[in-house]
Amino acid sequence: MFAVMEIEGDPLSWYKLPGAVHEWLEAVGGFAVLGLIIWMIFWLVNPPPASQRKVGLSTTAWLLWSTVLAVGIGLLPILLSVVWDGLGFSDPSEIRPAKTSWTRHLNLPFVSTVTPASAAPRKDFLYFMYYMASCLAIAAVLVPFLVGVSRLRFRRIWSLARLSFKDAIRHRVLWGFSALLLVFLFASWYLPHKPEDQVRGYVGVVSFVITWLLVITASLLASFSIPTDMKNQTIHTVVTKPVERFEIVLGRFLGFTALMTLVLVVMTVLSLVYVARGVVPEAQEESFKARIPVYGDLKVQSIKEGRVAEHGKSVGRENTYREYISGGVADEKASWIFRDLPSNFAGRPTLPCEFGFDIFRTSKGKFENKGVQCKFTFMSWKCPAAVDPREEAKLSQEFHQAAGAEQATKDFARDKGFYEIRGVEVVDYHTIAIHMPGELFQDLGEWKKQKSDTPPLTVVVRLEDLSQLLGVAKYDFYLLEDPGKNNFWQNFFKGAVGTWFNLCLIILLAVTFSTYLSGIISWVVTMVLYIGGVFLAFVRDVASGSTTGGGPMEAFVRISQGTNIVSPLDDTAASVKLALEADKVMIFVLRRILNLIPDLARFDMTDYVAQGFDISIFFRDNSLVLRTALLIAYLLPWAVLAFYLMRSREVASSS
Amino acid sequence: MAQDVIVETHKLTKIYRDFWGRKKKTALNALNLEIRKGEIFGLLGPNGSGKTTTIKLLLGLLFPTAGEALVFNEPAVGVAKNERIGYLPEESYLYRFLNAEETLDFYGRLFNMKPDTRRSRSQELIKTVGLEGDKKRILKEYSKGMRQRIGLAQALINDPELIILDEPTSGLDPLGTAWMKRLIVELRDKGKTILMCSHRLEDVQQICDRIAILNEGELQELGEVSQLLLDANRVEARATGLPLSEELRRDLEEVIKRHGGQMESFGHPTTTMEDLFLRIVEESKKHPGRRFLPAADRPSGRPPADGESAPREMAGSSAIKENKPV
Repeated sequence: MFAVMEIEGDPLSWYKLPGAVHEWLEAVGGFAVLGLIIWMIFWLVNPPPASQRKVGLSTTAWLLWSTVLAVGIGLLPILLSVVWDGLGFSDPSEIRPAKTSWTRHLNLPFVSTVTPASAAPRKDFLYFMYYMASCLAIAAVLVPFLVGVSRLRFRRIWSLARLSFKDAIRHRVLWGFSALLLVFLFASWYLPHKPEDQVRGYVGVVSFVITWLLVITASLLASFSIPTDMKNQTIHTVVTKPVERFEIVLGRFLGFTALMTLVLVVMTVLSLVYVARGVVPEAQEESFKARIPVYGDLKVQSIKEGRVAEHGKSVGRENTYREYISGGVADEKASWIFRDLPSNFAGRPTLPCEFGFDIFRTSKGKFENKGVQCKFTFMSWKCPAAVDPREEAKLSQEFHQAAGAEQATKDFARDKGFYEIRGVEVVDYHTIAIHMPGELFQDLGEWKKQKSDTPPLTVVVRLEDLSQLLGVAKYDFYLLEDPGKNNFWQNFFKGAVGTWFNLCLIILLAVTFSTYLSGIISWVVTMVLYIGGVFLAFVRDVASGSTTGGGPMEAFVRISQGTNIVSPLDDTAASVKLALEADKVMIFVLRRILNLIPDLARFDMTDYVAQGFDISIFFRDNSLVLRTALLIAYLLPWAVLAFYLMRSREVASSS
Repeated sequence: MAQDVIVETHKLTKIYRDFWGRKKKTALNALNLEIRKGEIFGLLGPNGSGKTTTIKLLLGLLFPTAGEALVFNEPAVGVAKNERIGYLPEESYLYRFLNAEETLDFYGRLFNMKPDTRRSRSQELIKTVGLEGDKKRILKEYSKGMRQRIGLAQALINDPELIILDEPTSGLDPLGTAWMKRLIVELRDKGKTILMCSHRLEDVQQICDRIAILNEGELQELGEVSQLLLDANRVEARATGLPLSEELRRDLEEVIKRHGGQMESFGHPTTTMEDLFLRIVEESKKHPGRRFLPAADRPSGRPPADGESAPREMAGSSAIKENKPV
């Protein structure tokens, strides 16, 4: 698909923040409880001498501060929710109950007040206890951590970071991989491609190569650093200085991150310079830009067994990303409902929108490789059909009667809020742009003041050609906020931030594991987690048991028996029973460790750059700030683990 | 803890266990020790006796299994006490890709030292340890003795009150050893407290005020060196300006017998190998090019010419090579 990104997951949005914090507290709290149980077992089996207990907090202080902090942590999602609601910053697709915003918050706090998908009320007492236990466990773990953090000094961390930087810069692995990276950067320009794919292909390959080579380099440097120091005993002369153990961890992290950032910046500049050498016009048009899309909510309607169904048809594909509608049937349509629009839409002479749909052919022959005709109907909040769909046909007729003169159609758009284009040719694997008259949004400011419930814009797409099917997804159609505002260069650097997120993640994971494990084991564990993150969608499917053909052991049995994935297995056979039970165990374990695996797809912005879509810094969905917050949310528990591991490590022990 | 006690251990025990918690070895068993301010304290023992374990417990590099260790009245596992401690490990475990200046600058930054103070202290220490001409070379190129010197410099960067030295003279030649011992005594005279761990008994004897002897993790002996080495069963008298003669020997024997004793030996005492070595090296510096000549090749009565060595005249000499038993 050109310039249309397949976005399969819910985007990160600001309005989901309170609910996200709530879910994070639950997940992290579970691990905190597990950590506390393990610590208690060790304490009982191997109690430390009284002298060691004198260092740090007294038990009373620990319990007191943990309780206070737990209450604060437990209230955090509610407070965020209240602030969000006060700011009017809520999910635009959420259907609000007929209560005031303040009375909503009289509900118990563990009701997710934000996204409809997660708003299943869980008011039972048991859930409340789980939630409070999570908060208390987090607080109990955090209190000594915060006390330890208060003793940190940036000048010592900076000294240790400089040392790590100097140490890493002399390693051959860094220079070897950097040289390899340069080869790949320039070699990929010579890969064959279609003209319109030039930038897209280069960005994709460059990003992939840079990310993987730098990730492997960073993981090797970070995994072996502390273990080598311990083996060589150079760490002894550091630990015997007034250095907090956690400063050693942070110093390593900062030093390696600084070095890899420098390498990344150099590589990004070099690759950008290379791109700028010459971009063909087709590629410039397709992806040498940074579009700011405005997406709507998709509602698909089709006819099934003679009745209107509120979803599209399936064409039998495994990939169910798109829904399909038939041609020539008025009631089969795809509607994009835009619940809010940027204020700058008012006053513009025209407004572009772009789309890329899939065409499913029901017959071969002369229709192949040809486009299909679609009708686009644009209805603003003024349009009677936006409220009553039965008005649509009448308005359409009136519009086309008046459509002879351009001014007439503009006047119709301004007065009746209705605009229609027929016969738009939609071709497979192409992005097409059409323009709406700016008169549709002339009074957009008035709509915003009224805070009307009627959406400011609804776009309905119908397929006019018979015997074809049109495949649509939410992100296949978008308005363009301001196509000329941001440029490709800035976007390219913003896309490199995604690689930087990967580097920060891998370095902290590797340093954390290396505080307790040997270098090679740290590296292996780090890479297992990272690769798990690359395939997280698949791992989630396996953990939920929703993979076609069953779990790993069942798949193995099927392969060995030569059975296809849909045929039932003979579950009376011992081997099949064993495989199914083994899969249950594996799924149980996977579900428990799923939260340990990073969601790397959230940090990958290659598609944005390759397809020519702007990466937002702050306000819009999937902004850099939101991704940074997600990265911090994932790394913070690992940092706390590193704190405790390093503190409990006997650096002079041979084991 | 009394005011002048810097280090104190009460039943300090360290047991090494395997991954499953099974006991592997008791490295230290219920050690009770006190180190006072302003003394040089020696820790002796054969290999595996627990000396290094004791030091590591005091530094917080290991955690005790039982008992406690207090340094400056704070638990040894704490970090705050490290502001006042300097540590020279047995092998100089420093970062070999740094040079001397960078090494001292790095360690100095870990203390709360102002930049000017840190810089001036680094330069002063580099001069003190005699590495001024090599300060820009990376530590990887240093000899063992040079690494030991820069190791000592980093241990002194914060002007510590307590200096812990693990085998400070290990790998040093006699000149280096003499220099190190002199420096340790100077530090003590400045009011520092030194804890040193060594296999070299003559070094310990010469400079330590008190010692502890460990064996298999148990404290075997503790006390002042002079008291521990005192041989109360013997009397020694030394004199200068007396030529050795049979008459002198008889007179002394008579006096000793009159007081109820028995002469064991009579003759010139020997110096130490270290003194001999140091003196020879000192003399060779004063007379460059001078060489040893065997007595047979040396014309009698003729003073040594330039380029020739003179027969060695040793103080307290070996003209009689061994003390004759009486």
